[in-house]
Amino acid sequence: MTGDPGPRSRVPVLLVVIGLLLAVFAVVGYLGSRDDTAAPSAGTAAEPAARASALDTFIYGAQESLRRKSEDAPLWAQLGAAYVEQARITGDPSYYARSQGALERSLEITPEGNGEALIGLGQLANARHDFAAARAFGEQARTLRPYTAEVYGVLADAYTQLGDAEAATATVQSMLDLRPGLAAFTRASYDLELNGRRDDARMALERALAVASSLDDQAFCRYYLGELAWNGGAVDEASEQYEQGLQAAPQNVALLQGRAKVAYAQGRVDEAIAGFQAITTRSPLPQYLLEYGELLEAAGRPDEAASQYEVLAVQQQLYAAQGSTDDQVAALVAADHGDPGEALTLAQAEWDRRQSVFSADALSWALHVNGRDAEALTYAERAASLGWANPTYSFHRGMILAALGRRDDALAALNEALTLNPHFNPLQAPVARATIADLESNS
Amino acid sequence: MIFLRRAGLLVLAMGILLFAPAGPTAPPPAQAHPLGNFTVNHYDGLSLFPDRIEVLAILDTAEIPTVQERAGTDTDGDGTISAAEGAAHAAAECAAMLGSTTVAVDGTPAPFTVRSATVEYPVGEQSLRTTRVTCLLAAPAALSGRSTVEFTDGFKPDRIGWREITATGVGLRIDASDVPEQSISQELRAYPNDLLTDPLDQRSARIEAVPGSGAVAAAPLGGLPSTGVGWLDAVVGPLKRTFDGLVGSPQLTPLVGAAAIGLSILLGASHAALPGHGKTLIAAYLAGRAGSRRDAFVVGFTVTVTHTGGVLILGLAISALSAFAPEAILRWLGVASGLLIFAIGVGLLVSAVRRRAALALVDDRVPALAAVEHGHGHGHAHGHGHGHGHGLGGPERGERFGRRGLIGMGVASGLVPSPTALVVLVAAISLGRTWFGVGLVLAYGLGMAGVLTAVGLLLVIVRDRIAVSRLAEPGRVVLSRIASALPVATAVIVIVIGLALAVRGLAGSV
Repeated sequence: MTGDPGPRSRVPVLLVVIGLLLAVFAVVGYLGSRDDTAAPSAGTAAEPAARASALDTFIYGAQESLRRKSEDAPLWAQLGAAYVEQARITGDPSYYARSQGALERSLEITPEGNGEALIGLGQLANARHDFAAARAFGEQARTLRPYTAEVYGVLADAYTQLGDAEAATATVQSMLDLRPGLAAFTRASYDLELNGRRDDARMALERALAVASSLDDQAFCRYYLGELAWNGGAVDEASEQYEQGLQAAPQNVALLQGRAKVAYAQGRVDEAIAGFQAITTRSPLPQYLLEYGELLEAAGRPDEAASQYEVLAVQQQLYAAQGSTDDQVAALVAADHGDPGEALTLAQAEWDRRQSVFSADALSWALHVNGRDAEALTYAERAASLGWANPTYSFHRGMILAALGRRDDALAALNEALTLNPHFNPLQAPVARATIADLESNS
Repeated sequence: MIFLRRAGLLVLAMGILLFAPAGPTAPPPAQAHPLGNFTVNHYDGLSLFPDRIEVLAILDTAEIPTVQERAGTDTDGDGTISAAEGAAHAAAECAAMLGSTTVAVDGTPAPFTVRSATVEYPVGEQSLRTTRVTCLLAAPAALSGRSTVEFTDGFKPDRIGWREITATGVGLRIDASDVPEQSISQELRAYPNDLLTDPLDQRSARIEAVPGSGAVAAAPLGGLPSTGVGWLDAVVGPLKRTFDGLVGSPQLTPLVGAAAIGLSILLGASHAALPGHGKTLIAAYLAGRAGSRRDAFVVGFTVTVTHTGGVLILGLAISALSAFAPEAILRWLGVASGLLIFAIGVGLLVSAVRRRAALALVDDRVPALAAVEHGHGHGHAHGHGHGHGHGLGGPERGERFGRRGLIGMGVASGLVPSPTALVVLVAAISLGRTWFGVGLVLAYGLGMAGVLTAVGLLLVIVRDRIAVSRLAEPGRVVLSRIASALPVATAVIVIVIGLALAVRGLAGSV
């Protein structure tokens, strides 16, 4: 039997046969299922070539791969995180639902020790403004993946929004140590700005821009450089940053909003209104609807402004029905354009959830419109405690001080608001000027 | 026992792979608005008539934009939208569509007019209203000859939303189209909720229309309606779509052509690696002492030549027939070929089962190889003295095969044309690309020959170089089980495919 090939020599053949059989069915099955779910694939197949950002390419590749190999838990998690990013870039919230589905799928496959899925869930929770949940996911993920930069990104965003300033700064530092890239620099910049270190914030953003590789990332950095300039009253510089950003991403809604703001500041009111109309048509987010309404009101078009506030109310109703836990914008809208009582309820609820400078400001303003200025001042001072040079906060504080009869402090705060940015708000900037004039004439 | 476990897993995996595509044929889970509450979703259902093009254009506006539009719709400002206000809104929307919805026949624009405009306000989330505007647009067009229709929907391009286009022929045939015939969202009523699919964003369509009746579409099998039996479609569908997709794309660019040829080679190669067609049988022979390297080439070549030759002859015959024969005959041919494949599958199954039974009686020192030797082939190329429990110890073991015997074996195992290769060819022919189809089949054959020869060579070399030690007893038993189960599985697959083809043909002809 020496020459007998024997069973063993057949083993590889058998395995190869089985393997190829499976491969063929996999390919055929996958092509079939692709076409079954449709034409979407036909439509999207050509897309990456048309506007191929790195993110699009990744999403496309991951989708393809998961259709073939559906048990890849880390890839499901990465796809879930990429959908969150895609929602941010396209302004299309349906990606949140997809993201959640993908992340849940990942956890189904690997329920224990799945750090990637936890990171993705944290990013998703932050994007949906459920910051407490994001912090919980981030802290779980940190015990599993203490050397992964994304974990600290989730935590930094959550701590910042929840008002834990020290933890936020420490987390950003960890992120910078682990991976000093775009995500770390932009977060560092925000943290520095909140702590009143505007120049350092700009330097951090410039470093972020220097490492930004994709057009979307460049647009992202340009927008925040523009915002930094805008909040400092440097309208021309802000304009330049927005325009450069729009060259990288012409359809970026945030940058278009920057351009419209600049148009109004420079006295081109009709252009600003047309800009906001296009923005709210494309992406009717509460912030944009509010700014558009205020712009219309300032331009003497109250009926159209009222329509925007109405859309805003519907938007809030839908958010509330979906279990949103972000009442900060709603509180400010109610305080300025709606029911003061409701404003206070919302702001108090928000403050109970998180004690950040953002919610402190909202609560102070809600208390002010309800005539409770003594309490309001505590929160207004709390909002200013970090040193963030925010003209709206200064305005709120100034108005509260004026109501309390503290003339000099009020004048200082209101002048601070107008010095920081004379165009900070189309409705409130004129109020600030009128109040200053009033206070000075009564001296 | 690890082999047995592995075998179980493999069978399971195969089952999943086979039947997984059945999933999407179930009604897709729906959600209110795929893109949230601020989408504006478009659907354009094109119907091509010999004398005109009609478009059923539907605009599904979600809660937020409905509120945003309210001020413009509620012209008397009383807070409600009366029937007259709704009708005016629908008319205005449909009229606005005309400005950005274009159709051109062979490059010449055809002007649309609005035939009807209606509006509904379905209740959405939180009892809020949504808006559903339905417009029927029509444009005169002379589609009596072969023509190319290009359609674009540029209405409200800024709005985020689902964008879908479908096209069907009425009294003419759609030869090629980059949009499907049926709406996957049931005309914006139920959006598929697939984690792995981005929202549909189809803004234009290009359709080739030819005279004829609308029943036969771009692909010979694609024109047949689904059987309605999910798992049957799941088995046949992938095969059909793979090749239809390859040869049916509207523009045959060099890239698509190269990709099609490449995939044909790959499919041919995988086909050769599938159990069946007597390949493993031949390989087993070659692995015996008598086979030389040259024999490996001879057998690989012969199997391929007969295989692709059979496909070419049958395919060309069918296409010649179909040029004269009415569609019904084409369908019955489909039924016939399905039944033929089915019969072959049954034959395979019977011989596989019989051999399994025989195997059980065989001295278990040789079962694994015996199974590998016998278990394959479309029921041909037997009668070489196998299946009688001889295994490797059989009388022919030491004999050198005559060249003629080898060729005969190759011919016999290649005689039944591979249905997949046949589909490639017929699909290409039906698109008027006969020579491209022939090329594809040759590429397919090339892939097949490559793998067959490679397997043969591999075995010859392995045999020459390695003095093989024997496997431990339990391992062999397990191997033999796997090996003897494979032919049964193959046979079942062949039966299923044959049945599915036949049922499809029947369903199409009724």
